[in-house]
Order: sequence, then C-alpha cells, then structure tokens
Amino acid sequence: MALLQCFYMRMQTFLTALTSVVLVLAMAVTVAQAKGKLVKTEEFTPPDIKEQFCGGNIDYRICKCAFHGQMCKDIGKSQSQADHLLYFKYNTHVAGLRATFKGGCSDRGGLFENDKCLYFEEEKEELSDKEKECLPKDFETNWKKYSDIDDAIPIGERSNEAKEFADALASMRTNAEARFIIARDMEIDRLARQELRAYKTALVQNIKANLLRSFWRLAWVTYDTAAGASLPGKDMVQGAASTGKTFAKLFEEVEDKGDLLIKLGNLLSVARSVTPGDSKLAINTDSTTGKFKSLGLTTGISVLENLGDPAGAAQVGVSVFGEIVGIPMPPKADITPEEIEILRTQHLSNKAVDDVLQESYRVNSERRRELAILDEEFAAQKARALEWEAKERDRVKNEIVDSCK
Amino acid sequence: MKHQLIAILCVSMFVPTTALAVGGENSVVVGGFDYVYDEVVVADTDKDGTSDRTSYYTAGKLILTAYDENGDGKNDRWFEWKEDKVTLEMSATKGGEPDEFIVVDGNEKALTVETSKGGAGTGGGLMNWIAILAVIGAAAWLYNKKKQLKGSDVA
Repeated sequence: MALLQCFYMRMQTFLTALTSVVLVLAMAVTVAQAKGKLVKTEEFTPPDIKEQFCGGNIDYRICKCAFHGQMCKDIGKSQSQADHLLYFKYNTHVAGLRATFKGGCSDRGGLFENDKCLYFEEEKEELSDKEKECLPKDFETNWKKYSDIDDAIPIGERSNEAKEFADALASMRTNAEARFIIARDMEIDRLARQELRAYKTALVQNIKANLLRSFWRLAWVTYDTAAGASLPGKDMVQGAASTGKTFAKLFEEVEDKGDLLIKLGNLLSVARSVTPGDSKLAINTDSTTGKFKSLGLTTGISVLENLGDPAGAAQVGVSVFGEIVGIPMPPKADITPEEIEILRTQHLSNKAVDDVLQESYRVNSERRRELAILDEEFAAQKARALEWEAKERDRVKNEIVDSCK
Repeated sequence: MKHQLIAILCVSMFVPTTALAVGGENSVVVGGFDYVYDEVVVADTDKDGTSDRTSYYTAGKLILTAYDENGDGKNDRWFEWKEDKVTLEMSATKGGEPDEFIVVDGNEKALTVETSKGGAGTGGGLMNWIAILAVIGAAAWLYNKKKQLKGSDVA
C-alpha cells in the first residue's frame, strides 16, 4: 500500500512537471511566432547580497548580525529579525532594479520575460510571384484601405474578421478609458493628500493663513459630492467624485457649532459658482472620454495604447490640481479663532484627518489593483486585436490574389 | 533538591507566555515586522455594525492600519505609516499572515516585492519553545535524580 502511494505521488509530481514544461514550450513557440525572429537576449542579474548589497545599500551591521550573529546588540535586533529585515530590503532593492530593467527593455522595443529582455526582428513576408504581380504596390503599407476595416462600411456588411477586429478595438478603447480615469484620479488623490498633510501641519502649528488656504483647496476637491448635484454641463471631472467622497468627511464630520458649518457650506457653494466655463474642472464628462470615443477603426493600436498610458493620465491629474491651487480664495473667507479651535478638536483630537488619510490610501490601493487587472485585460485585448487584424489582412490579400487573372 | 525542582517548575510556568505572545506588550507583529504602539483606535468604516479597521499609534503618530476586508474577523490588509505617508502595504491573499508586500516610495510609487525568504515570521517564537523544552527537560532530569537518590536511601 505504501509502495502504491509512493508511486502515485511520484507520478503526480512527474505529470505536473511535464505539463509545466509543455506549457512553457507552447508559450515560447507562440511568443516566437507572434514576435518574429529572436535576435538578441539581455539577462537581468540581481546583485549579490553579500558582495554588492551589504554595506552599500544597507547598514553593514544588519548584514553582520543576520549572517554571523555579530553586532546585533548595536542595532537592537535579534539575528532572525536582522535576517528578515535584510532580505526584505534586498528583495525591495532587486524589485526596483528589475522594474528599471523592464522599463528600459520596453523602451528599446524588447519583450521582458522571466528576467530576460528578448529582442525580436519581424520576419519579412516572402511574396510569391503571383502575389507580387497582383497586389497593389502600396498594399504593404496601406492594406487597410482595401479591407473592411473602415468606419464607412456598415457593420453588417463587413467581413467576419473586420467585425472581430472592431469588437476587440472597442474593448481596448473602453479599457484605455477606464485606465485613464483611474490613473488621473490616483494623481488627484495623491495631491489632495499632500494638501491634507499641509492642512494638518497648519492645524498643529495654528497657522491660520495656511490652514484656510489648504481648507479652500480641499473644498474644491470635495465640492462636487459634498455640495450635492452639480450644475448641468459643469460637473466635476468624471470619476474624481470618488476622491471628493473621501475628503467630504472633513466637512461632514464637523460638529454643528454656530456659523462654522454655514461658512464651510459657503466655501463649497462659492467653489462651484466661480468655476469658469473653460475650466478643466467644469468640462463636460463626455469630453474627458470623448477623445477615446472619437477614435476610428483605422486608428493604430499603438495610438490607443499611448492615450491610455497611466503616466499621461497622471499628468492630467496634475494639471487639474494645479488649476485648483491657482484659484484665489474668496475675499470674505475667514474663520474666528474659536472656530479654528473647533477644527483642531474635530480634525486633530478626534483624528478626522487621520480617518480621511487612511480611507484615501485604502481607496487608492483598490484603484491600483483595479489598474493591474485592467492592464492584464488590455494586453489580452491587444493580442486579440492584432490577431484579427492579421487575419483580415490575409483575407484581403488572398481575395485580391484569387480574383487576379 | 525538592526546592530546586519546585523553583524550576515555577519559572517554567512563565516561559510559555513568551512563546504564545504575538510580540511584546503593546506591540503587534505583521509580516515579520514588529510595531510598538501606545494607542489603538477601532472603527467601523462601512457602518455594518462590526469593526473593520484598527489604527495603531505611537506618541500620537499613526504607525499601522489593519483592515478586515472580508469580514471574517481577521485582518487581511495592513498599511505601515511614517509621517502620515504609507510606506508599506501588506496583504494576506490566502488568509493568515501577509504574503504580498508593496513598498511605497516618497513619491507614492508602488513596487511589489517578493516575500522575504529569510528570518522567522514572528520574533523569537522558536527560541521560546526551545527554552520551554529545556526547562521541562531539566525538571525531568532533576526528578529522576531525586528518585534514584531516594531509591538508594531505601536500599
């Protein structure tokens, strides 16, 4: 019985290993076929932890303690604690180097896989004599004009390949739009947190001018949600309402004492009413994402990729917040020392600022996870679009050649 | 001999408490990192009647936030803080201890880090069990010796 069990376990292990090898080979073949001929490989090599990391990137005493149990008292850690800290810092350092390597690989047109940067060369298609004779001279560079990938052709009259391509492109468009908004809102949130920390410092140090300025800016971030439904055509940038909802707690949780709530409410109303028509904060929600919707079928996939690039979207967030910072405070915005004391009690002693900061980071963490999922989906959608684009090209080429006498 | 045995057994009663403790007094260990705190604030952020966020403070400064996101009574996401900024995010994707670590730099750029392969998860747990076994072993040896001495006295 024991022998049978042992044999079964070994078979299971063998089959698992075999399946993994087959899958890896299949993927390698698919990648190679998709990309062309592999012409160069660069390998990412992490630094040696003892020779290259210890001393230069971390207090050498942590290494001494972790590896040799020496100098542990100097750093106030046990050997196991030093070992844990050392490997965590080392793994963080390696992750950073790997991310830089991967970024450089991508910039140079390579494909990063399993700590290697692979460079492929597109294999030029060898045309037959008949193909050379029948295909138009500009087919190589301008084949789409001979295809059904054309917005002017009704959907029902397009080839199956063109329909599938359009569908894949539409998915990419929706995805790019979602990633754009998330990346933009993450940046707005980050800048709002910066403002909130400045507000907290002003509260602690009791600097009224700084306190009011930060509060005014935070009111702008918040107003779309806290002030209720916005005026038609002047709603805040789509999606940033989730940021406003987080920061609205600063205004909602202030105890109703005297005129303070009314004054805060006034700040928000003023923020909404002074928004100029061409303000980035007042643009119609459609126009934020309008540039995605307006993209036609003949738009290159790479253009869509660039539009949805999180780095670019973050820049929009910076410019939106920059506009908020530039808006002057209304002349009558002022609060009394007693009201400042109320804010200190509510926002510092009762930890409302900490409450908002924690919520903001948690929401952003969820956004980051959402972005990671969208990135993966975008890659799959792009692969699908490229596949159907290639099939449509082949269909058109064969059709022209077949009809050629 | 009898007094020595009793003394050792009394000491050994206190040793298990050091093995079972999760960090020292007013400290919590998460992902192998020890957080010493002097204030805890519990909150129900989704207003469902159960607390889902625990905030740890030292000298009025936030150092750690723990969330129970799936409502099973165990924390599954943690944020480490320094000067009102998150520096490390940890998640327990399979329940229990964190297995995903995201380091956040000064510009709030996130970097996923592979879980540390070195060191013990909790500070000193193994050593404490060794200490318990050593004490029990010493007590047993003394007891045996006493029994032998008693036997030889009778003889």
